Amino acid sequence: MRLRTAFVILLLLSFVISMTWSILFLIGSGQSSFNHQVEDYMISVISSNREMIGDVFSEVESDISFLVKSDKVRDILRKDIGKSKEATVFDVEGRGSIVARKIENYIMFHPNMTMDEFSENNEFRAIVTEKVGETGYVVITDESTMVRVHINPNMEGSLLDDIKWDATGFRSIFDEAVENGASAGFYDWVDIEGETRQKYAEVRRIKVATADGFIIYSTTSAYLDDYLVAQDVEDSLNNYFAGFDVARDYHNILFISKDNRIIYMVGVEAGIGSKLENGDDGFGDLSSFINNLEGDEIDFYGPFIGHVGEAYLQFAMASRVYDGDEFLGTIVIISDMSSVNEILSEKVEIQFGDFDEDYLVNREGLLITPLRARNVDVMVQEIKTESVEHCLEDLLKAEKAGITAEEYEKLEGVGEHLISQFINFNGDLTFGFHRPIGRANWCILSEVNVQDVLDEPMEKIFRSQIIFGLWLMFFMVLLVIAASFFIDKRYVLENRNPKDYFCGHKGVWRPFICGLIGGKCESYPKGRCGKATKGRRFFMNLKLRYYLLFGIIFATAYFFIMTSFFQGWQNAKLFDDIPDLFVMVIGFMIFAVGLKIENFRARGPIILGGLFIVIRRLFDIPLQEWQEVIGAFVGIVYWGPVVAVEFIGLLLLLVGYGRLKYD
Amino acid sequence: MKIKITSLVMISALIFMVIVGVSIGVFNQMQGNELYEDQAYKQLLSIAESKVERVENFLDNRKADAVFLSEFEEVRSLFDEDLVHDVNLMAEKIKSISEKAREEIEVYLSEHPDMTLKDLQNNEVFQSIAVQRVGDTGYTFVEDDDLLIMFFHKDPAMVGFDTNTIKETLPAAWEIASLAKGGHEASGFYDWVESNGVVREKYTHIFPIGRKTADGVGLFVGATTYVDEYGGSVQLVSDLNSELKNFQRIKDYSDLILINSNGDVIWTAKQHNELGTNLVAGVYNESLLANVFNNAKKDLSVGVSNFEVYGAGGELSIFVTSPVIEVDDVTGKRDLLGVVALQLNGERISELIEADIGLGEAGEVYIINRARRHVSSLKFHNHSYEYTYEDGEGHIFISSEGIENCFKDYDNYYFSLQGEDIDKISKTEKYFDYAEEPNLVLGAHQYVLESGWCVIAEMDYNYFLEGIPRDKGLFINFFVIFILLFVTCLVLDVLFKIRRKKK
Repeated sequence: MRLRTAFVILLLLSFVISMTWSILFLIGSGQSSFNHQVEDYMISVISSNREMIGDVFSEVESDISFLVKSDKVRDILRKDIGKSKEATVFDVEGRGSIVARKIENYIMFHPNMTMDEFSENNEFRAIVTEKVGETGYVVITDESTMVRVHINPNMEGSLLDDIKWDATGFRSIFDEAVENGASAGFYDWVDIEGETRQKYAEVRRIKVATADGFIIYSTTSAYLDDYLVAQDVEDSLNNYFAGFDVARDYHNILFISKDNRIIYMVGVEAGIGSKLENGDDGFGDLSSFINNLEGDEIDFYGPFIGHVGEAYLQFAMASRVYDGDEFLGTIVIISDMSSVNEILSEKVEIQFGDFDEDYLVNREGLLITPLRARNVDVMVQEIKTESVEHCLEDLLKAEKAGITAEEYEKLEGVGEHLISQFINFNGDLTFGFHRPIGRANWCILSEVNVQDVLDEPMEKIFRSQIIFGLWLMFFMVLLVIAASFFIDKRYVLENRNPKDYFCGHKGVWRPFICGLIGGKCESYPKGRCGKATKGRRFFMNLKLRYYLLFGIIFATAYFFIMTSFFQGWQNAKLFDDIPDLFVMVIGFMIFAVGLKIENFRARGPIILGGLFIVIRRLFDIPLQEWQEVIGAFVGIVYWGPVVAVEFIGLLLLLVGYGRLKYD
Repeated sequence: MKIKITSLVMISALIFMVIVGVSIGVFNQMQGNELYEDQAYKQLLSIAESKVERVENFLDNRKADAVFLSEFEEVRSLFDEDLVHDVNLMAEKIKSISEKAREEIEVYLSEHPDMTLKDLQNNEVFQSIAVQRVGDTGYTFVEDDDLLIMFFHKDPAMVGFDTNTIKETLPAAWEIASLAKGGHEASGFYDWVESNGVVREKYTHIFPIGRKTADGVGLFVGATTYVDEYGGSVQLVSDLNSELKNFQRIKDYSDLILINSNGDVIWTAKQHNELGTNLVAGVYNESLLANVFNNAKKDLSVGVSNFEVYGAGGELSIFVTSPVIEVDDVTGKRDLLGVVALQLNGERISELIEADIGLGEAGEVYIINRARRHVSSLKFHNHSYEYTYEDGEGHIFISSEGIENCFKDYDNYYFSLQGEDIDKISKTEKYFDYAEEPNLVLGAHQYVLESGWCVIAEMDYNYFLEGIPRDKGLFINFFVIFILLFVTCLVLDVLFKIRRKKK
């Protein structure tokens, strides 16, 4: 190899390596910094949401603190407790309507089941045999008054006539239901101990018949004794608490007696007057929660599923009420999760998209707020992502350490552990962020598609670097040519023996092209290169059809390789790429023809012109594919230098063929 | 000129690499920072917006509190009650003012032990301490505690007045003064004859001053006022009293104030000085409380006041008010019965905007009101700043490009509603903050519409720069490439020489 050739190669090599390295380096370091910045941002967003949820809790907590000290609350809790017909009617009718609806739905979803099958079906029995009040229950009968489902299975199969029901006044209620579809009323009932107690029953005809045509009736009944509420509550107190409830938009405020009975509700709903131990009362496991309260602490419970038909989950905060040292009862504020859902439903804009999901999970990892992308049931769907696992672990560790999750987080430091990467249900790489909410033992989580927050911004950086690189390359190629020309003339040619190294110092292309094809410059000053070396002459003498074959193979391979970086050859922009490939082959052929031209002055520009045309098409294909990928026009800043290279190539061809003609 | 090819390659490569490195570095600096700045601005704006949301939610909840109280039947019925003059309440107030004046005089005398009585009489600062305003018509005065000669009085004609001369004409007044003679505390009611001959009842409370002047004169200070200046207040039944006080205390309000439709402050949880005064005609008629009362009376709607200095302690306060309205069932006419006002201080607002994320040494989130007074606490508080100025009372105001732009943006919101053309103000910018030695910060603002506050989130620019890639790594890499290139050239050179020798 000649030193001159080494010079040109090393110069270009230094440029290509410098440029590639610097662009890759900047993109690499930029990506890591940008990732960090994006993570900071997303943690700050999730923290803001946590703060706002904390504010919701703080307001409820402050209200509970006030109510616990309120004389008016004490007034209610000190009231005499007595039977309440209103509460009985309210509760029995409320539960009766819910049970009837459930039965109707169940029968509708099982249209082929017969009456006997329903009676033996455990799911159906579970719907029916729920307790009402303390001792009440639901009974299913058919029109012949035969008991089909009863809380006491021994009663099933018997006729109500057999138990002399007509004497109790219940008969008329049942008959009215058979006639009108529904009826209700109080009646006396002799219980097992032989004591006559007043009961209230609500009978409803189920609107859907069984597969074997049975029309059935649900009878919901309860003893009046089961419903005890605070007596003689003054209107002023009712108005006071109603005003408080309305101002705060709470779901309800419950006043629980020492023996866990709901003796007063601000908004009357099913459960009034009942004991909380009675199971499915629309307040979840509130009784255990209340039993675990100690001293004057304010504790949090939830979320739980409220009464049937409630649109939102609910949470509660409660505290015990004292008068001096005397324990009077418990005050419970129940709030809908709507305020919490609202906070999370606001989509937060990030650099190139939005948060995909912001949601909460409870201590068991169950989803408790709706998702945006999927219609998933809350309190049913378990979420198992790395974020959730980390967060629940934090909650557990904090509990073991006897500190709040927020305190634990401060001890551990807010940082990397808040972020995890996983594949979401769509198969997309996702960033997950989590923070615990210690007050409620919940986790707040946000998910965002990595593509949205990192790849796209980085693509933007990459894009701009590429544009810059292309232009820089264009100018540097010009600079290299000028520099080599200048160096050739000014230093090398004047200081070295031209016969050894160069073909002379006239003409710009001669030394370069002679060097390129390896011929010695024996024919100076005629403007012809001397005889090339044996090996290099092989390329000059190679037949054009081989060049054509090589050009086609190269162009085809290049097409497949290049498209594999984008959408694959199957999805390539064929109608644009194919002409480019043709032109690439033609450019290659011009280069090959140039090698064979004897006229030295014409040969140089033609060879370079052919090369420049090939170069342009080499860039053309990836740019076109990229345009296809982003679905938008790639601007002139990208095409500019590429088109300029071809333009120079065409000019060189004109110059070369011009010289060919007149020589 | 002899130049080796190796040297040529090295020099050329070095020049090329420098050109490439500098070009890419400059380009990256210009273009790269912009992207990172965009991201930082987004983060700051998101912080500012979330803090605004928190503040708005907080104020909404406070309004809900005020509405609840204004609809509370027992509170409503208070406005129909007859006001009663609580003598003890008035006496307590006069006593506290007199005691405060005593303390101030003693501090002044201890700091100026060389000042004689004459010096003190000629000193404006001491004059302002000795003669202070009490309510609408009252004042404090200072007398000789032995001879009962008046030395400091609101009316210059009274200076030098011998109190002993009223022994016969105004015996009650003389008796109180004589009880204080010799350094004793004294108080009581007395009649005072006006210049037009009308006799009006006054009340005074006298405290002896524990230090003498440089020339050995003993003094006492008294506070006095007309009894009829103080309007009445309402006496709440104990249950309601404790209910309202609980509400104020547990919900962390500075005070809970009830004002009737005439502007009489009829009840306050903290029994501040305004209790018993009239906000329309009384001494507090220009106060923030009077202002919010007038607004509530005019608008008959729930409102939030400006954040301003209020009360003797100079505490920055905000009032949330709700009118108590009676609607005529027949005509639908709405009459004002009174106003419920809840007073809040800045601490609670500060808690709302605390940020637990890194914003750098100079970075912070804070709230400024339209008067450029900080509503929340500031990071650089106890300094005087280039962009900071103080009013006569020592309250700090701050300003910066970010703050000013926020208020312009706020004004623009209303101008645009009125259909006026506005110059859009960017919500994010790079500027110098308000500190004494201003820090370059990236800032974002968002305003709280109702209260007219601005939430400013700022990130220290140096902190920001620490987080983004710098080009020094790039040049280290270039250096390594250059060395590799140099070694390659040397190897080539040696190879060529060997080849030449072989030939």
